[in-house]
Amino acid sequence: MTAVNSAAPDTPIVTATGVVKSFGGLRAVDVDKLEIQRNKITALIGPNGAGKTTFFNLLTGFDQVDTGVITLDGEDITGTAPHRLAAKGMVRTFQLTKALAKLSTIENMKLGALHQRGEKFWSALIPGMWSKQDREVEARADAILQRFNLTHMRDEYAGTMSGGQRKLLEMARALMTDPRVVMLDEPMAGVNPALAQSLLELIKLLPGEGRTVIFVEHNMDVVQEISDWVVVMAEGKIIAQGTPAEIKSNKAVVDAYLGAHHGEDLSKVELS
Amino acid sequence: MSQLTLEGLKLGLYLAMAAIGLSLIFGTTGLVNFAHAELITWGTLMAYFFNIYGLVGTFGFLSVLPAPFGGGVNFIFATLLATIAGGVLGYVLNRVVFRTARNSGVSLLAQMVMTIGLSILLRYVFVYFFGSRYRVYKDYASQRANTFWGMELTTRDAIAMVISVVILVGVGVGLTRTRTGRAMRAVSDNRDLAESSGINVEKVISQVWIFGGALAALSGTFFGFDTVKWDIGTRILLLVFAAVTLGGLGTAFGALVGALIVGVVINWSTLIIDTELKNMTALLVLILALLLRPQGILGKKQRIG
Amino acid sequence: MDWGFILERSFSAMIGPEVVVYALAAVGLNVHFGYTGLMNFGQVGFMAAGAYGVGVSVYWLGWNFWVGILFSFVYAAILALLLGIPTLRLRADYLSLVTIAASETIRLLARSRVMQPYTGGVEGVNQFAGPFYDLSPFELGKFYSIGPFKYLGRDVWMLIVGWTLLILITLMVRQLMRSPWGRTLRAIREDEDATRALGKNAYYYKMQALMLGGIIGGVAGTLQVIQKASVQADTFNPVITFTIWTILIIGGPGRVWSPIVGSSIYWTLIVFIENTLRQLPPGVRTTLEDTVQLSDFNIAMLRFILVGLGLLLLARYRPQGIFGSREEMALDRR
Repeated sequence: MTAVNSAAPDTPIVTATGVVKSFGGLRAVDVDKLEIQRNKITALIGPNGAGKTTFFNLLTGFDQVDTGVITLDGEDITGTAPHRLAAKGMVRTFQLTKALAKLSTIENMKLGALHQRGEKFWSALIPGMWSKQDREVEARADAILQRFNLTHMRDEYAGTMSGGQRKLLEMARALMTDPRVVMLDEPMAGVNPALAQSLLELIKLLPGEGRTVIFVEHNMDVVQEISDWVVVMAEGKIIAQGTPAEIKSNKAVVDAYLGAHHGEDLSKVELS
Repeated sequence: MSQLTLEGLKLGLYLAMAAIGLSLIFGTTGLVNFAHAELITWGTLMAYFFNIYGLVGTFGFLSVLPAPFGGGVNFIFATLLATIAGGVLGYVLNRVVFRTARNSGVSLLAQMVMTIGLSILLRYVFVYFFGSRYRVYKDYASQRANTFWGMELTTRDAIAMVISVVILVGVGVGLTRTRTGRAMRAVSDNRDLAESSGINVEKVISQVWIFGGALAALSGTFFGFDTVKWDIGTRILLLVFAAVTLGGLGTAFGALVGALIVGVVINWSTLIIDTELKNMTALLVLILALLLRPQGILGKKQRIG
Repeated sequence: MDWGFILERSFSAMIGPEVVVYALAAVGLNVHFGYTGLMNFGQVGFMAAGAYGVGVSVYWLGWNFWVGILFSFVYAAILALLLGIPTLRLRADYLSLVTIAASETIRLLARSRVMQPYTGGVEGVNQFAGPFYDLSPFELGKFYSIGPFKYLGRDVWMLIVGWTLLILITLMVRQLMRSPWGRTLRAIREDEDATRALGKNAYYYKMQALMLGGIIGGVAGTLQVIQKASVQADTFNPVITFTIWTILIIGGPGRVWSPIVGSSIYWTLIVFIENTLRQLPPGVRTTLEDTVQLSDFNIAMLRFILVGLGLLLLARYRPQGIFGSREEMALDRR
């Protein structure tokens, strides 16, 4: 299924203007202007301490800006709570995978569906009020599980899955919200190469469904392979933007961050 | 008003001694120790025991020896013994109950429930052996109050307050000047950081329990001046929680500040509300502190949720 | 030793009034902690809310008993709101402190001189349960027995009403927890942030859970004071809360039948032990009294010593209780 985008196809889907966040005396994020193009895969990179995670948290509502405006498809979403953002079509995953161990895989998946009648207290008491919708949700969940090759784990506790399988589950579950924007927090962290390839293939399919992907990543090979656009942050600011090829050959960025280190984990690269 | 402030300071000083241990235990292990109430009660019961009976109370064959083995001892000596007993109990509880739990990977929440079970167990063992009636120490039980500047204070209370101040100052100095003290504060502040800088965290935790247990016992001894009872610790535990939360869970100086404030505020509150309800003020302080400034006065802001 | 008496008391205790009351309170706590992960250390406060809801309505407001019962639900719900609004954003251990403080505040207030005209102060409220017992088809003062089970008529009536309520409420909770609503609670218990990221308003769900569990606790309190025909502040003390915790952990948090099974096991055990000790031949009794101070009073204290020991050992070695599985490790939140 494809997501519905309301505004004109060429306008940016997510923007951040004048966004500042300080902790104590330190300015962790200071972004003048950022525009994310819709139906593209955008990577957010930079060394440790660059402010990527903080910025990511600000965009997804898990932290509050000091000043600035963040918009989603033209709508001001600054300061909106995460659960409301999900309803508006923005979902995120977490660096430390949060597959809910004590729920089964299929329960994890069904949790992701929005607007379930059975999630309201009074309706929950009467199965008749939600069982039909529940079956529809379950069918949708099974379809996605099949795409992610997790069907065999359907009824197992997520806690029994391997780390890589949990990563897959978290992404699959995020798709259940039918998001317009998928925010991935270091999706390749701790994933073995074979699984990484499957994950990459799945991510590459998302723009075709009308979804935008924004992800934070350290692994430059991954960034090179799937990004349409790369945003480089350092010390809270955006220092460069461009296609992967442009970034690779941007002298300032190359000197500072890539140099002869492409393919290496950026966190090991020293700041100049 | 000034009498109330004096009473408040007295309560605050005694509370502070109990509160510091609780705060440091939380800081170093992340555990809210509900059994702290029983460490306090242990102190007053031990002081009573040594005061009235001496060790002969349990080991009858010692009666041929002079006090402290053969009979009751002077109250001051009894207090000293009680403080030591407090440290011993603290050490034993950590070593036998909690260290093994930590090593077995028992979650913090489960450990917290353990402290409650321990608290109830100890409390009812106390009442089992001690009985439910109030008792009093043999010495210094009742004194006439001295009057000065329009305020009243018994000599005994005055001395206890002075001792408390001395002890608290000593604790303060110890925590800032000695290596052990600094290690305690370091672990309490940031356990991982302290560990990576070479501090033996388990040893520090053990020291905190001994130290906290001894202080709690001493405060219990003073609380027992009015009456010695099996549930004395339970009755003031919520006041201690209020003090520690207000000051900042995990900081020793916060516990001190919080305790003094709680002590004074409770007593001032009797100007407005019934004396019967004055302890409720502490509960309100606790609730308000958690709402408005959960990290306490001296605590650091933690990312909640 | 009258084994017949001991067995009769023990069997009767297995499904007796205390089991019903405590099981119901444990069902409420199960909603709070077992399913949603809320560390509520003040369940006795909700019981008091229910109890005083009836008591205050009849004593001070002079209302009809049945209206008072309805009011007790409202009272418990309000307490949940008051507690929840400020605290549900806090960490688990902070919530535990607030709930214990709140329940003690209720007790102290209820027994105070100041509140005497409303709550009856220390003496509390008596003689209000007439209308309940008027409905009983059993003779209140007469003993009824079937096999080893023996109860007074008034208790038989209370048991019928109580068990019906308990089973109905348990089934309701079971239904809720199998629904998407319940699934969201279980997800919140495990990871609030992940649940938020999926579009659920965690705060709202936690509040609903707090209210549901609190109202159920209120029903337990109401039943208790109907059974005793007396509302007394000091019966609503923290040790009751922790007895309920022990009961829940015996059965296993997060499982539908834990409260009933745990409560039954606890009370049967306690009644059996106490009665056996009391029934020991006089010679044995005096010896025990001299050596280990096992007086009458102390036999009654054993119950609490066992709660403390039980809670300590269960939390340490079997926090998932009887019904829980090792993987679930019910007291492990992260």
